[in-house]
Amino acid sequence: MKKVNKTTKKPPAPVELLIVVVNPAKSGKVFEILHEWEEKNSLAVMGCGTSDSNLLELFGFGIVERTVVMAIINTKNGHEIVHEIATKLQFHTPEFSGVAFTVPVNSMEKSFLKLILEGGK
Amino acid sequence: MSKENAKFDLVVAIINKGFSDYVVDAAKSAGATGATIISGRGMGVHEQDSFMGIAIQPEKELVLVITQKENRAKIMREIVKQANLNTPTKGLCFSLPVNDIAGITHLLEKDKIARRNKKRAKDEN
Repeated sequence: MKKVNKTTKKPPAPVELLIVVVNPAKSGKVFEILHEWEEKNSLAVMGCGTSDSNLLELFGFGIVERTVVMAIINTKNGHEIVHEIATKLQFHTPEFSGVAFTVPVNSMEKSFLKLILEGGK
Repeated sequence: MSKENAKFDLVVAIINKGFSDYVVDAAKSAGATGATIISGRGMGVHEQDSFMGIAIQPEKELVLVITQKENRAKIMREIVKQANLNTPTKGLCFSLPVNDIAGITHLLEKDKIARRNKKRAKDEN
């Protein structure tokens, strides 16, 4: 019976899913950054964000419009892309400008994976 | 940014349209600071229905919540409990790990304040 080495770590996935939640007015900037990185597989959907203020919710301003941009990107670019989006869209400011994060992808269809890995900087 | 990356998860709840408020309230009561809601359509096997030959696809809402790892289980439990996700037709909730994240200054500040208060309480005792 073959022994399985449980301590062996799996290598990181070559692609990951980038999700950016941002004001609709700034979503164009996100696409510009992705285009600069030659990450062309992206999608934007309309969404709503929630406010942290009970006062705003009382006056009916609790829900604000947001654009959710999703893109499958090369893992090696992920950290830099998130950092660039955060810097250029000024996520560090106290007022809520948005959030960007990446989620690992377990598996993907081969030809699409090849397309993504061959593109990018 | 790199040190904080391993500490966050994405909780996703898929629920019938109109019930996202329950999910958001449940998440907030368990410590979440906010959520993002997007619309979708249900294509599940048990959701396929038709009326006079016209297919009916129920409208769904996806609620996305970024949370720290230690709060994830609590938030998911509250969502399942308050939004009644444990009934067959109400929806589902799952979580995904987050690799890199930016724009969570408000979460980090809250965490810093909580740790400082905890330390002060410990010192006073």
